[in-house]
Amino acid sequence: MSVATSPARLVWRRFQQHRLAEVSLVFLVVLLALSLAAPLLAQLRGIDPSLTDLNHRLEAPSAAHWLGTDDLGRDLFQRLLDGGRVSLTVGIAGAILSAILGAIIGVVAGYLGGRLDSVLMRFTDGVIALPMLPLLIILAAIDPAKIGIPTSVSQTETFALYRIVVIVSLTGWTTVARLVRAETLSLKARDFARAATALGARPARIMFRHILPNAAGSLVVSTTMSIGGLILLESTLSFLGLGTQPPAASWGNMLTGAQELLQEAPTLAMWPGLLIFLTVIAFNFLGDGLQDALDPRSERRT
Amino acid sequence: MTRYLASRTVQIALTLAIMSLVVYLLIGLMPGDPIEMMISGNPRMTAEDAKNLRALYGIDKPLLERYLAWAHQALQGNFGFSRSFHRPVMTVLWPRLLNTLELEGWAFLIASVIALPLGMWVAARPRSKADYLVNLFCFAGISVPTFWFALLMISLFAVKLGWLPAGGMADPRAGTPLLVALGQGIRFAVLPVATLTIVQLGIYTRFMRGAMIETLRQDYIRTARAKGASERRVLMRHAFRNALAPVLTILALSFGALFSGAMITETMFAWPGMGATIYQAIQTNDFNLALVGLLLATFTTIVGNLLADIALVAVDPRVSIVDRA
Repeated sequence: MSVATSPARLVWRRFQQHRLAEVSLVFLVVLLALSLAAPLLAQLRGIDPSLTDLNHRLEAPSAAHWLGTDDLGRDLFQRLLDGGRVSLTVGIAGAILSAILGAIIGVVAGYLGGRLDSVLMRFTDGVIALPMLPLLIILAAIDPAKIGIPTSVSQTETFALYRIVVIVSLTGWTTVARLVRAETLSLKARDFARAATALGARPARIMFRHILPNAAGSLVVSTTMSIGGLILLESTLSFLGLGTQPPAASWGNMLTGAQELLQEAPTLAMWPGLLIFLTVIAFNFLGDGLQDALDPRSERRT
Repeated sequence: MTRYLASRTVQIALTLAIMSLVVYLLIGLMPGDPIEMMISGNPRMTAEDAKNLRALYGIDKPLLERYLAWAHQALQGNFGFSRSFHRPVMTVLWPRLLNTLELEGWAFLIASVIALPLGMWVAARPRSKADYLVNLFCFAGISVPTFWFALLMISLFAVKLGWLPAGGMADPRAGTPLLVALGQGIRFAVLPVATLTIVQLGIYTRFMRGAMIETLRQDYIRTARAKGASERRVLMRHAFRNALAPVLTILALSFGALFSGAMITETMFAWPGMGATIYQAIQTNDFNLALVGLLLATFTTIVGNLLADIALVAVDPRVSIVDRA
């Protein structure tokens, strides 16, 4: 006989059954820690990752430059970490933003129902069916000055980051909205929701205090799953020159020039792409593991 | 059926109208002013000339008014000119649309032909080693950045091995024997089609696997097994058709994503398709080409959706046209 097990411990135990998810979690934590500590690490190693040095371009890995240098003589390892900070921030912040957006639309559509529901869901389906990438490219290309944002603000790195977060989150919310709507439909018929209604709770309170917290499990899963897709999107936009702008590093824009250097320096095209791939697949495995852990009745694992 | 088609047509028209308005307004916010670009190369132009040119092209009017004028012309079938090609946009876009449909069509076909049986096969043996491996492969397909995968393909097959061209499209001279021309065409198409296929394959396989597993849990499957139907018959006759319906719906919804994938693939392999053209149009400030290209891409995507919906009714008698309208 085992002692009483807390729900959190149960979830953790189920999560551990998914070996790939566990490995992914470790990988992501290490990556996050390293990229957050990158400026400190650069200081310790005595390297300025933004310093171009044309006398030492495309160097092979050495004790001074662990992964060698890029076409402008910058330390590749440090740039990869800096790029990782951007990619992870955009992916996580974008996913949270799109989860908030999707949760609000989903719970309102599902709870209030009626005509509002059908309009909102038509709109969601319409957005899902659109070819999003060209639209996002146009959105990324608009000139902030023309919507009244002064250049002193729009030239800053922080603004560039916010901008790309908002742009990628515009694709992520649709899945969340559909999911939350479905959950809301089943939750609002449950006794606790009806009891709250009987006690005179207003719709807003029922939606945000009673229904959404109960949909938290699937919200967490779908948010985690969407991080990977958003990181892919950020890297694609940056690769095309419309996301993170150089000299700021991002895994996407580090590959922009790589096509021309394929002959000269094939490893330059390897590392950023490999890191995007590993990070995205890790988030997807993590989401998969969380799904098994938080929702054991889910359709998989029969 | 007529009512359904009518309601869908209205829906498509509405989507295109909203899209065109939103994109027109967004494009108005893009950097660069067409008149300034025209006069920047000509030092003899004065501020007065610029003003006259603005009036001539109607750019001095408010954005909304310009949109209405554009929409009025578009409804009469006049979509305007492309500034970088110096031709009507439709004559630029039409051959490129066919190139894109060729790329998308092959990728969709090959991915479906592999993914549907594969998803079905692993769904019949959940948690086996094969299922595990296929699942790993699917996750890899979903997670690989298209542009990076294209880079790897180019560096391996074009640069290192030199087997296939790195990009472009075959352009056989007149009089080339048909078989030779066909061979050339295929050589150029292999890498882009393979790239787009691999990227779609993982998604499709996972859809099929999920739908099959869900279907295999239904009571009628147990009944079929209980009455002694062979496992093969249960899978093919009882489960497959029932699982196909939700898969088709999701596949249709992913046409938009297919176009996004095609856009990157075309850009990487210099495949002269719609996606690459829209991207170049945005880069070179050819606003009208970008706008009409985007609308045409949306239109073909939604029509593809509609066709898939009609196909769904054909394979699944439970779905009636009426409740989809």
